[in-house]
Amino acid sequence: MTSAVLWVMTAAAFAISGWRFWVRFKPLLHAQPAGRTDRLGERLRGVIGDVGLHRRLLRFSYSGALHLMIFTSFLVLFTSIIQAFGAGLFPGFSLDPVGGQTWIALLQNVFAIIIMVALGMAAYQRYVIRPERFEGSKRGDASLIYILAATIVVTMVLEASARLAVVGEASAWQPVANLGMSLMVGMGVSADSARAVEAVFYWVHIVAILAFLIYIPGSKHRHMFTAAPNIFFRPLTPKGQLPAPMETDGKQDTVTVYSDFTWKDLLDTMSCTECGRCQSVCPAHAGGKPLSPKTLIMDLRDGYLTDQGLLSSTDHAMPIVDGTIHPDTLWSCTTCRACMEVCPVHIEHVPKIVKLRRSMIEDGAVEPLLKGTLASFQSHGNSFGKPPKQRARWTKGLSHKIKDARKEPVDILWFVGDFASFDPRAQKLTVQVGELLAMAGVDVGILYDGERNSGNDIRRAGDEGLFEMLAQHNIEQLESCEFNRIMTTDPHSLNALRSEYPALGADYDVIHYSELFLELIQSGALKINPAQSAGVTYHDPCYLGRYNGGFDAPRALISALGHRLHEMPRNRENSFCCGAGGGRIFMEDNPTGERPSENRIREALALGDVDHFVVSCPKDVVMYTAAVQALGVDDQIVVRDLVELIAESTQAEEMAA
Amino acid sequence: MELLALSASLGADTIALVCAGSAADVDAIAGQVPHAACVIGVAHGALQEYLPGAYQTCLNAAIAAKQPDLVLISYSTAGVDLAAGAAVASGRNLVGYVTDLSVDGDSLAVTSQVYGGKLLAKTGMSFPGIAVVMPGATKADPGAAAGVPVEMLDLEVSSPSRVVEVLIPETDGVDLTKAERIVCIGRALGGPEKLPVVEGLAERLGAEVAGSRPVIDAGWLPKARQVGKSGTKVKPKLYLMAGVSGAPEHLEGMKDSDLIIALNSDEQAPIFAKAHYGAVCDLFDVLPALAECLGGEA
Repeated sequence: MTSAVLWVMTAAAFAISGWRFWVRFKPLLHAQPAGRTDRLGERLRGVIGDVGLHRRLLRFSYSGALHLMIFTSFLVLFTSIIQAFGAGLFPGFSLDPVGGQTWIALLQNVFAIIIMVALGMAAYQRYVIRPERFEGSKRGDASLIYILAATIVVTMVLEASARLAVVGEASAWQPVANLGMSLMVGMGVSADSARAVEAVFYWVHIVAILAFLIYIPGSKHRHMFTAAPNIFFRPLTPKGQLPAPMETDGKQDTVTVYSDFTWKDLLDTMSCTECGRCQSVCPAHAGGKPLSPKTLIMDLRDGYLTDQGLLSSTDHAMPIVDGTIHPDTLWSCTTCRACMEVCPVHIEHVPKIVKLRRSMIEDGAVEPLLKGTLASFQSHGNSFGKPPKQRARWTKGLSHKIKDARKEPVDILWFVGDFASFDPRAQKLTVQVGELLAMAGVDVGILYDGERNSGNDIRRAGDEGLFEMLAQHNIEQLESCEFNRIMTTDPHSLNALRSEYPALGADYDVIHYSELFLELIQSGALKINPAQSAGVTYHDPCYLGRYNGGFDAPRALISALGHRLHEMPRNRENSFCCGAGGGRIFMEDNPTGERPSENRIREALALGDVDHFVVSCPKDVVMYTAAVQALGVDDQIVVRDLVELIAESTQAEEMAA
Repeated sequence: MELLALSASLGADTIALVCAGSAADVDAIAGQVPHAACVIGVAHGALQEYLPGAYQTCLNAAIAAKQPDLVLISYSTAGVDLAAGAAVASGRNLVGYVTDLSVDGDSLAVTSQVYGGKLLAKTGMSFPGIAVVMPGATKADPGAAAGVPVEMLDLEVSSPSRVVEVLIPETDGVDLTKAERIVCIGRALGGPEKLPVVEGLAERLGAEVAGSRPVIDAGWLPKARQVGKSGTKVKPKLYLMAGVSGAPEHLEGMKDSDLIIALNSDEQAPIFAKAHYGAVCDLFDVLPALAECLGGEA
């Protein structure tokens, strides 16, 4: 009888839960392909690292630790579920022969404590500490899960206690259940009534488990099932390479309905745990802009579910842009990738934002200031609205004539980039780079008026056509030149040349000037005097660091020059964007809070003993110089480019020699 | 007023058309109309706010009723809306951008702007005609507004469009692009309490006060007064800037000004490379002194 009832209940719960999963995931079958079935071994290793070893989760130590506790407890306590259902469904089934009453019972007892502690920590964090990253997450969902999980564990222990009370004998393997037994015996529970108590807790335990199973598909806790596949199907293409739009009949598709996304995009939204790590590292969110990567993904998820008729929300109506997601939200993104780097389940926020920007660009709904800049790229190939002829005008400041790489072979082809070529502040640094390269005897040439903007930020602003036009032009120019390596001071150009152009068939060896100068100093080609020493901090540019892994060369340079490097709390992968990327530098930037660049300068000032804020990106020079000015702290900290430090050091060496 | 003076100078009888929301409003306006032999009034609720369709109906009806030799319309937002419609409805000749006109026998000699005002065209136009007259073509002559008779025209006025909402741009009345002189202040000002120093000088110069981005960010001045890449791009005759270092983003907004004078305490400030005249000084010394030289109380 018991067995029959349990069979019916279990089958019904599985059917309901299965159906709830099916309706949510069926549309993935009709979404666009994502091409994520290559390099299976590498994919599996990622799952082991980020699920098994909690690599990303543990970057937030408190949350990571409590998640690890709950995660391992679930695995261990799964044995109790097997026991409960096994015995109920198949009379005679028992784990006892393999240690169900001995070591397995001991493990269950120990992990019952661990999971209760972890649930307490989780509740404490969510209701007492209340980190800002939970702002906007659904609290009721989390609370219900805490209650269900705690019920499952407590009933498991009490059921075991009652079982012991029936015999009236403690078990050396079950210290926690023993306590429950003592309590029951102390309350005068007889052997017979203990049997009834055992049955009650058994059924509550069973019902709680089945309720959990039914609830899961509609909850963020679905990540128990989706996290591993979501990590497995993560992108393995270069971080700096955006997926190109799909094409039908030679025309590029844009995303206007949910089935225009790839199935992985939709799986992403269904895998979000609302943990808010992305929100806590987002420069747009920190600056009071309407974007939070977390709420963006949640909104896309709820929009998708509303579209499927699984949710009723007027805030999540079609169309996607302007119905569910406000255009300002999409324009706020600097594409810095901090969210993607920190997401424990590898959700891809930036490509989704770019896909939606592309559809806005296609509709002509463009941020006003960006519109003018895009027109300037179209007509002049740069954001400054200057004729291409003026691109190499900065070379007039050089003491020598730099080679035209289009006319003669060179070792290093220097791709200068827009800001380094046109912005008066960056131009000075560009001249210094030129002088130092000459001093080191580097065989270097530039493209002169043949160069155009690399298109990196234009692609991220969503103008795919313009990106292709600029990229094709640059590739044609590069094809006609003879060189060994490309060098650039601009991380954005570096990313386009190194990560984007290969998808267009142009694969070059591209290095950042920090790498080249480190080589030159180490080989002795450039003589420096490391005697000067200042307290400096270094800012990792997003497109050099997070996107292209260029963390070490700038640091090695700084220490080679003899400076004392003090790291800011947010460094390397966790560097904090200046706010200029993804086309943001071409858009209106009304203050909505503290600008990311100003936030960053204050972070540096808080270090104390730092008077140089060292950067290695022309846009950073512009952004942080303005930030220092705006904060009025010119007397406390100076923005210096790496090249200035190198130049000072070589001058000191010349004086000494 | 200019149109009425122009009409009077032609020596013809003038009929003025007054459209308003109520008869009382028509009377009030008609009472101020000089040089007119007669005023036609249309009073209708739909004329309370400007709706092109409704006003077009009135103008067409008045032309049909009075058959004047010449209809004068001002080159205004409404005038540009209505003139072409009236010309089509009445089958009359139309000349736009008129700067001068006189009667030449039985036709009209009209001078009008072409190619955006780079050239002037002289046209002979036969009656009956319509001329859209540029502002400033003649001097307004208030004259005596003798109580001329008002002839009310009873029209069924309707408009396919309606005014949903009137939006007033947040400019606090400032349009820096139209200012001939601008005094721009930078972060060196120190705080909004020091603004009177700048305003005093601006008032004497007949200039508008503007600010660089930090000044607007700090809320010392409204956004409409921001000059630069993300603010307004200006081209005044005089751009006097104090305490603005001259970041490229600011230069982008003002580099085409006719005369740029820069005051800055930092002799290295990049603005000195762009300014026509520059002085290394403390703005709090110079601005009040300059205001004093220009006379008047601070």
